[in-house]
Amino acid sequence: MLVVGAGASGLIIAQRFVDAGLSVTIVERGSVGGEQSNHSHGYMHRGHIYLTPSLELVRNLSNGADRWRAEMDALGIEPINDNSSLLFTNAYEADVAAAAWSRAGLTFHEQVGAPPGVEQEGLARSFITQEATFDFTQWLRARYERLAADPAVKVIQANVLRLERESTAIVGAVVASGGEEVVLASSFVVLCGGIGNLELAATVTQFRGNALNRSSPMLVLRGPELPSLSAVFHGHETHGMFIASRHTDEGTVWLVSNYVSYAGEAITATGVRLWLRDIRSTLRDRTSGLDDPRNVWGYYSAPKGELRSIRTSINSHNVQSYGFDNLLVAAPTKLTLTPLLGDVVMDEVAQRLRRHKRPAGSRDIETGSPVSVSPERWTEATLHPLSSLVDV
Amino acid sequence: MTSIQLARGSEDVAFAEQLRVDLALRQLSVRLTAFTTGGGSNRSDSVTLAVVPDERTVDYDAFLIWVEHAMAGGVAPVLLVPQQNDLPPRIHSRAAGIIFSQSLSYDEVFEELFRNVVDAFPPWLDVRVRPSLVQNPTGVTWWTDDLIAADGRFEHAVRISPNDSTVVIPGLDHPQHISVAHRRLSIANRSADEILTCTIVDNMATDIQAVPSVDGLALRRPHDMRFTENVSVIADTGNSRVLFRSNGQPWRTVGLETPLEYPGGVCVDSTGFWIADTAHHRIVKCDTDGREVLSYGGHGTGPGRFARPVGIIRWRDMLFVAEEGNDRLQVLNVREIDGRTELIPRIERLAGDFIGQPLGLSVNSNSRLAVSDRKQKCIWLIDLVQLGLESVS
Repeated sequence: MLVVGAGASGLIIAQRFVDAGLSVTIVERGSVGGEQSNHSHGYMHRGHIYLTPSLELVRNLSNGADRWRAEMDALGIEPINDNSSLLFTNAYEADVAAAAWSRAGLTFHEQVGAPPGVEQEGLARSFITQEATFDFTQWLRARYERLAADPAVKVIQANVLRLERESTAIVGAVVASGGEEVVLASSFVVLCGGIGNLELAATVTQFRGNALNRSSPMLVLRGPELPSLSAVFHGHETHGMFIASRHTDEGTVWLVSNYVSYAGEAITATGVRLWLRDIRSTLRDRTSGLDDPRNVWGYYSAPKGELRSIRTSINSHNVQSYGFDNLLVAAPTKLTLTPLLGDVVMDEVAQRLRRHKRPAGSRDIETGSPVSVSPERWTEATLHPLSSLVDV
Repeated sequence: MTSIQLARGSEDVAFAEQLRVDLALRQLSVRLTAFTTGGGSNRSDSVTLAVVPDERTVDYDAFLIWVEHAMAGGVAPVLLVPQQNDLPPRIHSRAAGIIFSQSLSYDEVFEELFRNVVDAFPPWLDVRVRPSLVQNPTGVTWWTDDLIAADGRFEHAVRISPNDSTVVIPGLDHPQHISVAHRRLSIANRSADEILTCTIVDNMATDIQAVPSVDGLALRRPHDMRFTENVSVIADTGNSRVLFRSNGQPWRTVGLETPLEYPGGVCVDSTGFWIADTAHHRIVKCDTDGREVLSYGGHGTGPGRFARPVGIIRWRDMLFVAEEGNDRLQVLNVREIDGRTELIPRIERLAGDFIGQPLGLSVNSNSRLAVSDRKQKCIWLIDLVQLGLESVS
C-alpha cells in the first residue's frame, strides 16, 4: 500500500492498513503534518457549529470526536480544553439551534453569562458543549513514532512528482530520489496529500471531481492576561468567529479564525489585509482585554485540500477514486472526521484489492534521514505588537 | 406605511424585539404586545403578526385565546409557528399567512416575514432581505443567478442566493458600487482610495488585488467602475473626475465643458459611457473617445430632473438612474438618431411604493433588475419584461 502524505489522514489510514496486516509505504515531501494538519485549531466538532444539524451529521461528527478521544487516551494525550462555549448574539438563532441540537441528541447546557475574555454585552445566549480541543503535534509525533517503528511500515522522504497509469489502474508513483526519478509500484495508492492531491490526480486524469483547494486565514494573538478560551460565535451570526487557546510560558495564545475562506492555495497581500481588518473589528466587538499593549499578534494562512461535501451529509463524499481501480483520494472536510475516513478507505480497499492483480514488486530506494514532525503552525508565526495590526 | 402589531409569548421577548428592531429599521412601524394583554387590533391599516409559542410552553393557551379573539374582531394575522403541528386547524385556515420557522435561520424567517407584511407584492417584484449580513447595501451585481452585494454597515461583500448568504470578501472600507467583467468582480473600496478586483471560485474570493491608481493617476474615494472590452471607466469621485480608457489606450481624464463635481456612478454602453454627475445633479453621455455627447438634467424633483444621482445603468433603450436626493429610481428613454442622443423621461419613480433609497443597479440576461436600497436595507428584484417596460418605446 502506498500512502502519499503523512498528515492526520495519512497516518490514520496507514495505521489501519498496518492493523489489517498490510505493508505500507508512506511518502512525505516535507514534515509530518506540516502542510495542513498543523494549521488546525484542533477543535473536535460534534455538530454545534451548525444551526440545524441533521441526525446523520451529528452521528458522524460525534463518532469521529469519540474515536479521536479514544485515540488520544490510548497515546496518553490530554485535551487542551474539554468544554467549548457556543455563543449567540441573536436570540432566535440560539433558540433554533438549541432545539435542533436537542433533537439531534447533542449534549450541551446553558452557560450563565459570558466566558472569561468574552464581552457580555450583545450576547443573547451561551452554551457549554462537550467539544474538546487538542494539540495535534503531540498526536502526530506519537502516532508517527509508532508507525515508523513498525516493521511493516517504510517511510520515504520524497516528493511524488506524478502518478503513472495503465488503463484504469495506477501502476506507480514517480518520486525524485538521489537526482533520478524512481517509480514506486504498489497494489494500491491512497492520496492523503491535502492541497497536493489536486495536482497529483491531475497527472492521470482530467476529471476534477469535487476536489477543492482553499485557504483560511488564522490570527495568532498572544497576551499575558488573555484567558484560556475555546469559543465559537455562530456562523449564521454576523461576523462569526472561532477562538481556541494554547499555553506558553509567555502567556496564552488565541488562535482566531472565522467563516471566511479564500479559494486557492495562496492569499494575496490585499486579501490578508482585508481579512485582518475584519477579524480585528469582530474581536473588538466580542472580546475584552484586546488593548493590552503587551499583546502580540501574528498571522498565517491555513491551506486546505478537501473533497467538498454538502454540509448536511458528511460521509463517503470525502473519498474519491476518480474511476481508477486502485486509487483513492482521501480528504476529510473536518479533522474530526478523519477516523471515519479511515473506515471508508478500509472498506473500499478491501473490495478493490480482491479485484486488483498485484503488480510487480517495487524497487527498494533509500529512505533517507528520518522525517521530522512539524510543530503546530502558530508556534512559528512571527509575532508583532498589537498596535501594528491597525496599520495592516 | 404599514404598521404592524407584533404579538408574542413571554419566552419570545428577545426574538420579538429583534424582529421589531429589524422591521423598524425598514420603515415598518411595529407595536409589540403580549398574548396576555387581550385580542389583536382590528385597525384596517395594520398587519397583525403573532409569534406562536411552542405547544409545550405556558403561553400557548394564552395565544389560542388571543388569536381567537383577534379573529372574531376581523383580524387575519400572519402567524410565525415553529412547526405545523403547533397550530389547530381552525386557526390555520383563517390566518393571512403562516411561516413555519423550525429549522429556518433568522434571515430566512425575516425575509419571508418581510414579504408577508409589505403591501401586496406585484408579480414583477421580489426581494432579498438578510438582516444578519446586509444592513446598508451599497453596490450590487448579478453573479450568475445569485447576487453579490456590498454592505456599508458590516463592510463586506456578500453572495446572496435565494436561500443562503455567505461573506465572500470581508474587511472593506465604505464599499460603494460593484461590477463584473470577464468573470472578475470589481469593488469601489471608497475609503481605502482603491478599487479591489478578484474572482469568485466555489463561493470564495481568490486573487484579490488592489488598484490604487491607473497609469499613475491616483484614485481618491472612487465610487464606481466598469471594465469592458472596448471601454473602461472609473468614477474617481474624490478627485471630481472620471477616468476612462478605450481600446487599450492609456487611461485619460474626461474633459467636459462644465467640469464634473463628485461623480458617483458610471456605466458603459455600445457607443460610449454615461456619468451620474452627482453634485451637479445631471447625467452626462460621452462617446468612446471621451467627448461629451449629452449633458442632461439639473437639480429638481420633476421628470428629467435629478437630486444627487448616484447610480446609473443602461438596459436596451432605457436608462435607470438612482437618485439619493429624491429617493427614487427614475427611468428615461434613450433615443439615438443621426448621431444625436436624446433622453426622454419615462417613469418618474419606478416601484415607488417599495424602493426607499436606491443606489446599486445591475441587470442580468433575464432582464431582472437588482436595486440595492439603503433605506429599506434590502435588494429589490424587478422583472423588467413582466413589468411591461420593454414593449413601449
